[in-house]
Amino acid sequence: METKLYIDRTIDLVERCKLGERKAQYDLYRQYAKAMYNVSLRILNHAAEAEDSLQEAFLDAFNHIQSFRGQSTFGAWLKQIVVNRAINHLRSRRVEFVELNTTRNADDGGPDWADSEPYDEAGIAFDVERIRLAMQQLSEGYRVVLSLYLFEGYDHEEIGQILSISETTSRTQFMRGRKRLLQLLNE
Amino acid sequence: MKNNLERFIRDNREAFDADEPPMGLWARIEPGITQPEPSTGADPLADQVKLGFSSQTEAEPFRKPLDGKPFGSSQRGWNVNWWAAASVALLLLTGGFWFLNHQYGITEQPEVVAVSPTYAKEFVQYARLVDAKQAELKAMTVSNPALYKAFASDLERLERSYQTLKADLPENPNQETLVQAMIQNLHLQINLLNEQLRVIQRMKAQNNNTNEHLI
Repeated sequence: METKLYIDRTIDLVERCKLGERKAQYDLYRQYAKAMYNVSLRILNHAAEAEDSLQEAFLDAFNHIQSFRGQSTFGAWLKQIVVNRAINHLRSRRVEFVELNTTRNADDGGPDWADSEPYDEAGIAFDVERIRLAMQQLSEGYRVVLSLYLFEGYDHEEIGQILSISETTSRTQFMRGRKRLLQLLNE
Repeated sequence: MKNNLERFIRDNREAFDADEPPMGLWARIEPGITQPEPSTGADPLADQVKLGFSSQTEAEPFRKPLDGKPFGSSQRGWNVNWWAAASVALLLLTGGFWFLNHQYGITEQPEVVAVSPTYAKEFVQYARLVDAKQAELKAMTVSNPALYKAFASDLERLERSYQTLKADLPENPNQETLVQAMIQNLHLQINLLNEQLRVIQRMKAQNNNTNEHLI
């Protein structure tokens, strides 16, 4: 019941934003700013850049809100914009998401986890803050794929589209990044 | 125990969103928001238009910039294309609906279409025929209103039973039989109209003959 009210409220806000109502735009911003800032920050790993990227994303969203037709939730639609904006920022840093089947892109000093041996995670005590720190230590390529898959809930097909890489590359990148993350957590 | 990490993150997802967005970000966003044009407001047809597109379409505009093009440069272009695409889709939908409506009479016979789409086509054809013949009859009996009245009352009886059948349709358990009865009724109406038209034609021919005799 509460969820339904929440959804109705969002739909109502979106409709009012389409009419250009300032108050509704602010309310919608307030509702999503924190979650979206964290999405941006996880991808970019840089506070100032995350802020710029988020500003652009919100502007995109509000200025193109007419093209939102409710096929997904507004949150999912907005997140897509935030993610794409953040990826564009990464691209402007000239990070290449190369095919990792042939080359290795993890210059973070860790061993190469290309082998398919699963990492033994039975002994690891998970902790939110430690995972956050470990994510920040990952190389860019690993961090982005892990962030999109583990935190934003995209599947490998979607990640492939977002990053313009193949689904297999996304999968491989994820497996390696995941192992690296577990290794960092175990240190 | 392979997906410990995934499970932990899923269960603690909200705790990971710990960073607060910078103060004053809204103040930077607000001036950049353009006011929408009044005409592009709540479009009641917007939801129909989308039917012609895949579910990807909505997110598409925001994926384009990934080609490496700066986002701003492509904005204006896709805006125009979007409206063009929407117009085309709307045109197709309207056309498609008109065609289906002409064939099946969705607006004329909503009850029948709902119950039996297979009979709907037949229905519309007969109903149109009845209308056409009725108009013909009316035109031929302009000079003789009394005759038209007599004919019309015969037809009215059939029409009344047709309306009764139609009213029964929604709650009748054996809808197929009822629809068939309705079609039969329309058949009778057409036959009756045909007979009536033949009578009038014969009368006219007789009149002509007598006229010729008088001359």
